[in-house]
Amino acid sequence: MLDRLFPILTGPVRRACERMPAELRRVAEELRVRAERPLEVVAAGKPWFVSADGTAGPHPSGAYRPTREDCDRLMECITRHSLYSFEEQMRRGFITVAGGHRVGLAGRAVVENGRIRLLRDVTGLNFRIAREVIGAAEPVFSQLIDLASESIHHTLVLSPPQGGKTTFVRDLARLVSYGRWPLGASFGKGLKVGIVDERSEIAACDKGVPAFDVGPRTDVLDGCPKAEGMLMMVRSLSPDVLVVDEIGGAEDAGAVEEAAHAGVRVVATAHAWGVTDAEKRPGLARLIANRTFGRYVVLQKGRTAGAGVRAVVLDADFRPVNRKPFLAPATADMLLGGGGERV
Amino acid sequence: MMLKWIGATCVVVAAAATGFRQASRYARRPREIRQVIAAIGRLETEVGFATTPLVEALEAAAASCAGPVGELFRTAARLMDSSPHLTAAECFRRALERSWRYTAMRGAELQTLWQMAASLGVSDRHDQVRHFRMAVSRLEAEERVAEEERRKYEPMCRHLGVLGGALAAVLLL
Repeated sequence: MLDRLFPILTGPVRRACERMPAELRRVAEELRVRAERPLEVVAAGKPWFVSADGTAGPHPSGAYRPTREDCDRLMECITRHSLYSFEEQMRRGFITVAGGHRVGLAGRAVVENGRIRLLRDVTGLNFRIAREVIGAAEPVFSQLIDLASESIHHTLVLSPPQGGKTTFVRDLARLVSYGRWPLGASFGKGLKVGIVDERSEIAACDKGVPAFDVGPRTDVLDGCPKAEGMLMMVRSLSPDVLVVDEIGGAEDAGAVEEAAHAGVRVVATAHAWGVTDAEKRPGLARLIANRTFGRYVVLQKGRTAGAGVRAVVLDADFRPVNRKPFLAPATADMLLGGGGERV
Repeated sequence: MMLKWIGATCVVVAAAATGFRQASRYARRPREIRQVIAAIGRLETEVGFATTPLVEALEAAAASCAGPVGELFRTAARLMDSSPHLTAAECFRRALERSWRYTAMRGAELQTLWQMAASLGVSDRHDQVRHFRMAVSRLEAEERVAEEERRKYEPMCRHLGVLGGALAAVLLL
């Protein structure tokens, strides 16, 4: 849904996007702006090059080439004239803007004492469109339930980049917070959920209020480093379930263990093609070896457009919880092309 | 005869009013410079300490001072909020162009603020604060000059106005 980026776009880039065919705008996943290079929109995994009048095609010739001034104006627009507000994020190479969209930046790094002090001359912007898909976690929710403790298992969600992990855990937090338990597991109430939203992508808080629906019993620590944030939440907000995105290092693993020992259920995500891939990372290897996670959800994107996202749920011994992986066409369609319409 | 006295009174009143108006400009100038210094101080706190986005920081600065100076910062905030196609510098300079004639400040202050505008929102916190402090130190120097002028010329203008009017009235009578 490219239209969701319009409030943060300006100039010829915005005009070109507005003139694009409506159908292509609806399925767009990314907008890539590179100075003096063709303007690109990625939809259903394929690149489309966009000209100034909005015509999109598979070849870069004829596409609009944003100028350096276009890039400067876009930076002013997305940072609301306040580059200094995003210093920390820029050092990590991206900015999360209002609406939960992540804008990856390419430019010249200014290094001081071996650390990146700032990113200047930004001439590449990659807009990743955030989509809320209500119901993304519903098909596999029943497989994550831990009846004995009236909660969900410690869950690790795995997929390669852009696989739908954040969309999935956002919906999982919503289901747990509202208490939309599946049949046979009605615990009577929603649980307290804590989200450590380091990159402001899960809840996309705007001035402290989530832009996405993450449930009524959910607290969000926005922009807070994961390890520290998890421990803070456990100590001060007493969550029943803690949700954190993209863990990988030893520090993150330590915080997950601390939270688990404190009796808090942890839902985490990690970049990996599957469990074997995840085991190669030292932090995750330790958690997996200790059988910290009771459930693994592996997300796989379909090869063709419209095939949706497959979710395979494994238990602590890596056996499928359900022999047939779920493929819910309605939800798959929503995951690929739904524009966030609320059910 | 009566008419002559009425006319003379009008002349004296008009001349006195001119004198008082000029005196008030001398009085307003240092006061408004101090208001701008306070507003920039507020900007420094919002930007340097809380990394508040520029629009909200300017609104906070505007709220801290009344009159044309507050209006200047408010206009700048409004322009920045509603014009994503303009840079922060362009927005602030447009606000200066619109609001300057309502203030009693002069060219030196205008130039300082014009230069400060160029640095808005384009660098990190420390650099922003550094530019704010440079602007404040220039404004403080101008404020001392303006205060000196006020002490010398404010009473002088008032007296000149009244006496000049009286002289003109006597000559006409």
